[in-house]
Amino acid sequence: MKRRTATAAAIAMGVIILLTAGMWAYYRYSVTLIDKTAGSMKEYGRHYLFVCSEESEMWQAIFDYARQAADGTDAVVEWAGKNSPIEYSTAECLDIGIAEKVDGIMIAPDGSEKEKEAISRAGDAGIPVVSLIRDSPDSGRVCFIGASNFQMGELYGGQILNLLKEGENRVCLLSDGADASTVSNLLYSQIVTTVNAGLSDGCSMNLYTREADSGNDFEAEEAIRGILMEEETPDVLICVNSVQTECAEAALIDYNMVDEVQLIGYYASGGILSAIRRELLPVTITCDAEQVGTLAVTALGEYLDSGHVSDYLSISLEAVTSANVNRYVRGKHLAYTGTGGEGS
Amino acid sequence: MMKSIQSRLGFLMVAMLSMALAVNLFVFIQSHSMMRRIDSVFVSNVSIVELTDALNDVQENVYEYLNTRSSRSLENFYRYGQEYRDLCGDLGNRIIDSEALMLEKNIRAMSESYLDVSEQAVQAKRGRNVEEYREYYQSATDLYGYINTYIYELNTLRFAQNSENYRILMRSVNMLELLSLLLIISVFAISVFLAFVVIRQMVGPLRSLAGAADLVAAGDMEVEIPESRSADEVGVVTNAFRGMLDSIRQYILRQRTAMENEARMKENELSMRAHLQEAQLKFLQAQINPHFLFNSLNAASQLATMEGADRTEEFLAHMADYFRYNVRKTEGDATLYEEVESADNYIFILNVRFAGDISYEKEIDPEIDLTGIRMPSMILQPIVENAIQHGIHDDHEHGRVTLYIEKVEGRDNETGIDCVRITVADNGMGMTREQIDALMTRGARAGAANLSGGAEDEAAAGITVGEENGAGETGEAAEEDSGQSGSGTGIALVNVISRLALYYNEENLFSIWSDGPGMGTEVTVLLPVGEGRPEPGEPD
Repeated sequence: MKRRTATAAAIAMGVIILLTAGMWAYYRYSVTLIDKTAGSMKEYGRHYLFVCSEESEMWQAIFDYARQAADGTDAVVEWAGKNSPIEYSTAECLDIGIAEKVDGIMIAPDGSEKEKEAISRAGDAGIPVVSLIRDSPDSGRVCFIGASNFQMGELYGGQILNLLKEGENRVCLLSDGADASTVSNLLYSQIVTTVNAGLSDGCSMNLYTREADSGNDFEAEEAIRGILMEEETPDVLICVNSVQTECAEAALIDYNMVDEVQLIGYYASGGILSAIRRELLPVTITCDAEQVGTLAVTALGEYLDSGHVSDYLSISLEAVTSANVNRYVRGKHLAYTGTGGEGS
Repeated sequence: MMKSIQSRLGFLMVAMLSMALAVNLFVFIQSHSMMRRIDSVFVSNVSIVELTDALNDVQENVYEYLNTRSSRSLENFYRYGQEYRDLCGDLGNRIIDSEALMLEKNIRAMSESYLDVSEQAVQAKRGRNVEEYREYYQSATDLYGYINTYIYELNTLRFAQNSENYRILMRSVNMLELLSLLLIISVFAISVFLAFVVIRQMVGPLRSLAGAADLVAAGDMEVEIPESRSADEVGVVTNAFRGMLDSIRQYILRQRTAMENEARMKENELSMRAHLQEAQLKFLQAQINPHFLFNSLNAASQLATMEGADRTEEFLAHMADYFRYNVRKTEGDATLYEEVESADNYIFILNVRFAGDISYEKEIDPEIDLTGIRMPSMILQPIVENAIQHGIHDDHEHGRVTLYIEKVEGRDNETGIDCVRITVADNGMGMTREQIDALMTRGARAGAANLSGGAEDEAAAGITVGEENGAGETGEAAEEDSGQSGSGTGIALVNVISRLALYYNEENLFSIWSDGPGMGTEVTVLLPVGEGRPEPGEPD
């Protein structure tokens, strides 16, 4: 009897202790959940600011790769104004970065004068600025990471040659950014040079440029549709960023002009790759986002550590067509229906 | 180890209350802690609002100073500037991979820049450098805008985080409420269970004890109460009750034995009275003839004296003595001397009758005081009569009867008490073993009947044996010679055995020995006289 009572008492105490421990554990678990909402608490030594007014897949991928690369160098990359209720210009973002006293800035320049002044102020404040994809010459940036207009013109020229038909071909080169004219001129020259060098008999090219994106919202889409609605539509339409490419593809489908207008895209997002698979898009020129992001972090680190860095770090470009899209996808571990881009 | 019910109940109460208190305290502390956390959830938003207010104050006073150059606005600028700086000091300034903390770091850094630029604007104003203070003010205003945006962003982020935390906390509070309820219910259930178990442990033995008491009260004294090993009050009461019940049982046993003994004694007394009444009746019946005969013998003796017939006178005198003894001693005991005299008279009478043929000898230890030894009357004469009538029978010429009276120490006899041994030996027909056994068995049965108070049995045994003796052994001869029945003057050996046992409350005082037919018979009677002898039970 006594043993049974003792056993019963022990079980009772066990139940109470179990419930109490359960309550305590649940309380601690709840506190842990609360702490988790604050996010990771990893501390870094350097703070880099990523300034880009364009939130395309390509730039997102470049930012992600830069973040990954920075993480390995005790640095964190923050996209300036990404979640801000107010949309700041790159110049303003640069000023914010200067006020924040960040360690370095990587920028996708829009080519504006204010931006150049802000880059200059950043340089004055001892903050190195590297420009990505597009250069911002005479701004005081410490390094440009991207492909040269020569390199791009050669690649575009080669793809144009593949698309030219007998007779005269209207080739429209879209431009973007405030410095569109300067950049386009260089690119234009190189394309012409390349095409002329490989142009076959009975075939001619009328290359002309159109400004499609000066940095304002929705401008690219409106401009491209305007071009396609003109009396004389281009035979080949050359896009120089991913937004233009996606807008042009959508417009061609809407206007049922896929067979009339050959599109040379830019960047290999999921949507663009899918379009290539379906042969809506004959070719897209893409850069390696991982390479861009990694080089940006490396350049800033190198400058901060040694006080100097190469003025220009070249990146590789690649033309993706329906012939090599599968190889490209496999190479980049992209899924057909994935969100696309190197950053996915 | 707690032994008393009080200490056990006390411990149980204290344990249960302690458990309830501990659980309540635990629940209270948990709830309190959770409530404090809930209270602190939106503290960060409050701080951010304070930060915004301070920033606005600084900006307003910068503007006011630049606009009016008043000392009050300048004072306010520095005061609010310091206040804002202090508030910014609470913000994080480390580079952490957390959106909120990065915002805090950015706000703090931008605020420092803003305060520096504002200060420069104020200094430029004081230096009356219009271009410069306008430029600085513009920069400060831009930074003010950036900071406000960032603060707004931080506030939104914090609010989202805090809302999520609040949601988690409220969920936790609900769960903790449920768990607390479960815990309290568990404590209650367990307390009730423990109380039930402990009370049952205490009341169980009490209940079985009460049941046993009811049975005892109903008269069942054979109820079994197991021994309690508990050392509490119930255990003590149980064991005490058990002991009391054992004592009552023993008392009842003793009472029963005493009552049985008393009943047996009463039966003995009744048996004695029956014997006495029977003997008195027989005595009264026999008194008529013996008295008549006794008076007649006296008259004849006087006549013989007057006529000078001395032998006749002597014979008649012995006859008178013999009958006088018979008449007088049938109602009580006698001395050994009187018994021997009675036997002598009997032998004298027979010798006159059979012309002195019977050889009768006596060997008596001279140290024995025959007058000082009392014994049942009419013991010796029947034995002698039996030796003559049955032992030597008609062969009086060669027959010889010898009477021995001697002392025997306790260690030499079966009673273990010093005795006087009376032996009547004859050289007559002797007896077979079977005859001796049959006689002794009947005598022993009659003696046991007398001792156990079986009056009727004893009477029946006495009568039966007497009749048998009368018909078979002693009685037959006596009837032939005296013309009386065995139940008259011829008292049988069985009666002798019975009366000896009754008188001394002791058996084995009578024995017969014979080597077989023709080898004579030896009858022995032991009269206890030493220390520890049984008290004579036969009334005088």
